[in-house]
Amino acid sequence: MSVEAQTFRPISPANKASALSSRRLLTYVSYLLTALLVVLFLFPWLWVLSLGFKTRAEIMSPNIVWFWTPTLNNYIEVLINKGYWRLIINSLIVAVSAVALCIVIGVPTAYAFSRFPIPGKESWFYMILTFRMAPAVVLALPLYVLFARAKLLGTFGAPILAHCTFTLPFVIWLMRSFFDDIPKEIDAAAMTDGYSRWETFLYAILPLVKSGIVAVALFSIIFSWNEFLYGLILTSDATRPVASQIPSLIRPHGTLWGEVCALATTASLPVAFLIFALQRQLVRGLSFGAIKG
Amino acid sequence: MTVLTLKNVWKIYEGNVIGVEDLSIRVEDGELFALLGPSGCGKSSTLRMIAGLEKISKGELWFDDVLVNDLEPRQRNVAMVFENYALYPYLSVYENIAFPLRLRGMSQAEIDRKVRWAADFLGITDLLPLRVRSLSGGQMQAVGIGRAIVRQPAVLLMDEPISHLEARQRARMREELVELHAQLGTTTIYVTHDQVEAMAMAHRIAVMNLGKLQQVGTPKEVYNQPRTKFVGGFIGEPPMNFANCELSSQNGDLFVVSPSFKIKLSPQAAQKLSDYQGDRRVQLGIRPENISVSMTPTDDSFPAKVYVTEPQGDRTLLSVLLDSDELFLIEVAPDFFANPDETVYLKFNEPIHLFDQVEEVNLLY
Repeated sequence: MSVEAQTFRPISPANKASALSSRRLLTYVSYLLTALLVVLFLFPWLWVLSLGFKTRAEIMSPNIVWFWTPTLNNYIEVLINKGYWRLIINSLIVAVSAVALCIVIGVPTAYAFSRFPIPGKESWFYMILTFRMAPAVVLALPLYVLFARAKLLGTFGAPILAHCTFTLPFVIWLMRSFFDDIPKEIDAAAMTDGYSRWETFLYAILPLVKSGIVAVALFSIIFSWNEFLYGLILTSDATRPVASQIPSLIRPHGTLWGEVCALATTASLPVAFLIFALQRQLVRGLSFGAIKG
Repeated sequence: MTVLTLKNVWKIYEGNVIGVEDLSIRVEDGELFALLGPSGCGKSSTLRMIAGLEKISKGELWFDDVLVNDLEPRQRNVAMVFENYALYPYLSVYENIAFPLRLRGMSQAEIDRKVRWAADFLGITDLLPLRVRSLSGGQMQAVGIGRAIVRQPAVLLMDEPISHLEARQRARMREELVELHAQLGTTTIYVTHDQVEAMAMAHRIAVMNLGKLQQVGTPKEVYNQPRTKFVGGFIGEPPMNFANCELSSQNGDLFVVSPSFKIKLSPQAAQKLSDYQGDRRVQLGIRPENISVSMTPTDDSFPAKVYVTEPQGDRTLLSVLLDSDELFLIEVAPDFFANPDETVYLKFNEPIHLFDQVEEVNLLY
């Protein structure tokens, strides 16, 4: 039978049934793939979570221990006895300050890129983007020397400014596309209606990119929170963020895996909480074009 | 109530791109003035300079006897209506209209009175509590107009306000805008690329092309006496026909001659050309309704081959091919019919326009 003949054959009940079941099969397959993906992403995290509640013997046992009595000892040891709870505060100070700084500087910059005829605009824009592309190590040494001269080494200022090297380009880049999505005529309307350029930006345009700012800020906080290298080399024990302090639990006589996992779990909670709290804003902010007038 | 004067205004963009070239226009108090031209002709740049959204590179802009070149948009008391409405999407209809009043620090009672006046004026009182996102295009533009008129601006600027609407709504909005202007009497500048809109609505039209002003005049003037070939071709639907010809004098009479025809010019036209010293090669322009068609030769007629007959109900459009391979579009009676390739006989009636080849200026203007 030729292909064409098959195409034009009227749908028999049997055919209909097979079409239906094939669609159902597709649904099942997609569920299966989704489940697989979820497991793939969740497994390492669940693994870390479980290790944090195990004793050293259970962790080191050659056979995986599936059933055990959870213990809080790792948490007590690392957070209270070692006093590492303060590192969470350090991380918060660094991430929130860096992102606040980047939003305050980056959002107006992005607006300027979107609206003003700056000579050589696109070249400047890509130059800023290249900072984002450079690996952290490239900037680590110059920043170390720079901060040492400026007496910033070991203060919170060092990691905050260093984190701006990658969050600021990110903020400028993403916020520009949000501003580009807003018709320039809204600026024109606001200015003829009685606002100055600054007021137009602050009161007419910013409300339109609110969810965009939330999404961008959230991502920036995550980047900053997870940053390791600058946090390690530009800080002192008193100002080190939590992610950079984990290696200190690797001791000559062996890694304190239980405490590593307890600390890692604790460290990921604030960010996870932020994402859950701002989920709706995040989705709205990420669906580009939804803010068009 | 404002007279608006542009004196030798230029807009030069980055890289020496000329947006508007040496534009001088005077818009009278209470006039509905159209800026007409194809995209990129400089009409929107001109409007944005009047609004203060773009800097004037050279020249002067006067509102009555105030030089406004360096005033910010908000200091000029202009209101603008936009092609894409440019409403504030997070505000209700009421708040959109109230917006410029709130910025002026008016009392709530006065704001309410004015917003209701504007809404009533435009027949959109029912829409006031709604969110602007839920409105249709026509309703959105009504809100945009409401926001513009609510504060009684000195000059009302409209940038293609109805281009986004569908055809039938556009025709109705045209009438409503004319009515609105008649009642408000605000000096209004209306930018459009649609010659039908400009002809139907404006008191006077400024036709622009490639940054240059081509002509300013009433709709009748720009239609009947186009100053340049561009104006002749841009205004009128179907457009003016053009043919390359040559001027030639014989026995004291002046003729335009082409491979397809030889036409004696009227004494008035000959009079106007008596001082003409330029190139003898010119372009003849004639509107589709000024050509008579017959199936048999008559005095002063010349043959042409039928290409297509397009009945349109109220009229028929006939396109014919001249011997010179130039295609002419002619408006004929609705019941006219001719087969393709059939020979018909054309006769040009006044007015005939002649444009020079270089500057494309109307020699009989």
